[in-house]
Amino acid sequence: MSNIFKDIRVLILILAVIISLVATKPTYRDGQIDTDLQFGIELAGGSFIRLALEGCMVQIDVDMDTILQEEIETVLGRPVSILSSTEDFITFQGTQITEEEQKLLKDELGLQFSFYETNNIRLERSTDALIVWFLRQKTNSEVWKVEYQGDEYFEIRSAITEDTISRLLGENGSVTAYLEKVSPQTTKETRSIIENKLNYLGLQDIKVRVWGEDYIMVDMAGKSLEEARDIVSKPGKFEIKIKLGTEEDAETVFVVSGAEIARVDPPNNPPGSQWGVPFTFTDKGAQLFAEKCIEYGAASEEQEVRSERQVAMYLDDQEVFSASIEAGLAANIRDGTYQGQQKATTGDYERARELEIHLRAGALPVKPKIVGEGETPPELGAQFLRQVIQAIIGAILAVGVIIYIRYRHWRVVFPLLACAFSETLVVMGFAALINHQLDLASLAGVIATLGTGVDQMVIITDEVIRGEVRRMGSLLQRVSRAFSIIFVSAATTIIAMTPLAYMQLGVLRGFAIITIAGIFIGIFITRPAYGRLVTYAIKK
Amino acid sequence: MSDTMFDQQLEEFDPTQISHKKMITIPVLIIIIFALLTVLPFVISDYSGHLKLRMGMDLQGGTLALIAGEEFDSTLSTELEDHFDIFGIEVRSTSLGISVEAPAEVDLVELENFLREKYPQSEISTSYIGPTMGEDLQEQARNALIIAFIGMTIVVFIAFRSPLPSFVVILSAISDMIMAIGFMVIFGVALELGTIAALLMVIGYSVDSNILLTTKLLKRRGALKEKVRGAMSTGITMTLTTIAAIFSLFIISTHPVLDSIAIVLLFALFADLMNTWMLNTGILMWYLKRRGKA
Repeated sequence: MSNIFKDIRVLILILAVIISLVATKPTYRDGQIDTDLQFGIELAGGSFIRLALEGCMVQIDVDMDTILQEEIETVLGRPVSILSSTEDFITFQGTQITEEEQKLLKDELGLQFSFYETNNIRLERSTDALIVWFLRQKTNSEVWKVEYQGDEYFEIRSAITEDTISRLLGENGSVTAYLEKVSPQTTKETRSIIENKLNYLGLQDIKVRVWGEDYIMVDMAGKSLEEARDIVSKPGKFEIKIKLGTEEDAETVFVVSGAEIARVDPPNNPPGSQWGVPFTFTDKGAQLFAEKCIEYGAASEEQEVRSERQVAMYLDDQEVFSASIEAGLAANIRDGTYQGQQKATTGDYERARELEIHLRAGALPVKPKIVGEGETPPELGAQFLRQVIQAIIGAILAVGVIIYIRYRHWRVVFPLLACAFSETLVVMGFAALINHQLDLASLAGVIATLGTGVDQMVIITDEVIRGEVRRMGSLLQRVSRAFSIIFVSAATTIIAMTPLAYMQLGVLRGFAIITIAGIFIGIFITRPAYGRLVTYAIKK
Repeated sequence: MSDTMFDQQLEEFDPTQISHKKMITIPVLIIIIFALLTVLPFVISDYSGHLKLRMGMDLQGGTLALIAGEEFDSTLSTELEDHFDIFGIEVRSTSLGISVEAPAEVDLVELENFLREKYPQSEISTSYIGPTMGEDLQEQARNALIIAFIGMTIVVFIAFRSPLPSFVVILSAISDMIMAIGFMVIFGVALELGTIAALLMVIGYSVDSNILLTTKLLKRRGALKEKVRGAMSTGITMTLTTIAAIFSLFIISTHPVLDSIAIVLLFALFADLMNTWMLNTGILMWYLKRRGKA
């Protein structure tokens, strides 16, 4: 007997079982078995929300010169002609353009025109920037240039159809590609904002995952669906205050709420300055901010006073940023040239990124749409989980009965059941090691693996026994003959499951991953050990 | 070890004596009937009967509620339709209790609140899938299935370097699926992600028994009768152990998804017994006899 435990194949199986036990850490307490395994919401109890993000990516072929010409003509109310058009500049020839009209053009179109010569309208441009400008203006939403699968697209961050864009372009252009989804970067950004928000709410254990490329999945164990919806869709409470003193519990004066922030730009660090987040108040917000800063000395001429009257930002009553106003800005506030624009300087990029999210107060860059949701009460989930575990044990026992009827020998039944049970355990251990969440589909995969595993062990058993009768080759040769069948069927099943594992929507992914892992564990760990164990048992 | 019950019975049984014409035509006819059963309701444009493959809520979008431990109540459906002012709310009895399936327009939380008020004692589990996501899932599942079949064909072809085994293995996987789907139509089991997983598991089991059969018949030496009988005794044991395992899942679980997975697998495994041990054995024996003559 001691001999069998010295066999490398058997040792590997024992080692794999031990590793799995360590990875899953089963503990017994109050009549319940606890493990480190992560179960899906339908088994753990709680609710889940799946979000799709509204937006699209487009490629367009457009004659921007003509569009710009038409826009200028609309503002001026009279024709202009294109004087010259190069890669970097475009110049229009107009007639009798007054100073008011120059200002009107800049304000209406939001472009930095220059007027070097009378009646010349000149614009420094790049085609892409102009397209971004055009799409932003017409769709009234954020537009960015993004890269997706090696191609450049314009991402429009609102639900807008291909027809609408074609209509906006009119005769001056056409949509050459339209993808009804936002870029993976945007999805990731949205995910990290949701996660950040949950962290601030003290809900670190909630999982926010990007699902496929286009969906965001929020799993909330132990939360009702109504709570979950609230958490995901409600922005946080963002406030800006002035601190009256530098000590930790210094009194504060409320200045404005997040509602007065009109615009938040991505962090930047232009030459000569540190990383920070530029943001703009609404007119009302700018006025309030200036007033309070002057009243409480935050915009004082003296550096010392300013450093004791810091401006601080709070998200849900937690301080997220605090700094004194810079000299230049303070001067602008005092002399009334302040327009509501400033930059919160954080120093490094990481903190700037974080602050940007806070400034947006958890408001998401794109509108999420709930495309799937659900709730399972914890008691019901626990009941399902219990049943699955019972079903797996029941399945192993039922297999044992059939094997006994077939072979009438405990020497076959015992190693087979031991291997089937260890295989299930090792698959679970693998799931724990790769942090795979076991949902219902994954557990179906565990049962599928059990089924194919037993199939293969029956093939091995029959080869060994039949060989015994007919004296065909050595025991090991017979086992290896069985393996030639097993390898082909394992390879075929793995190939059949691979496309599912790559399927973007994760529901069947768990099933495929567990099945593939189970088959690998089967052919490399359990089957060799079983071959050894059963030949040993039969020889006896 | 060899004097087991199975082998004794097999001693008197000689599959090579059965006409392979019969072994091929009977399953083929049955498969055709099942295929028609599945396809016809979709072809006949104004078919409104019950013999039609039902799409589950996760593939077409909709709202689902499961109420544990409640008895089926035929008036609930009308009551819900009146309350939400919508048609097409279906109430079914499951091993868990009752299930309510409503169109995607019905808000999940409202449905949950309504049911919670009506059944204050019961645990209620709910889920919602938007119609666009349902379509996405359908498309991806279909593509995955097609790629899976192409991949399988290639692997089996490489392993046997001959088209017939590939044909036989794929034929069996497809016939098992067709028959399982036909059973789903007859017993009103919906096509949903869970049952798609089950149909894919069928691939695994079908491949196991058919590769065993093809390897033993085409690659091993010996009398045909012995080879067929050997393959049969191993293969049928394999399928029976799987049936036993799945049957245990079917009996113990009350989760609707696991229940449908189990029932579909049971259908498919019984279908596989016929397809492997009649149809494919018939084809391979016919092929071997012809090759023997040539």
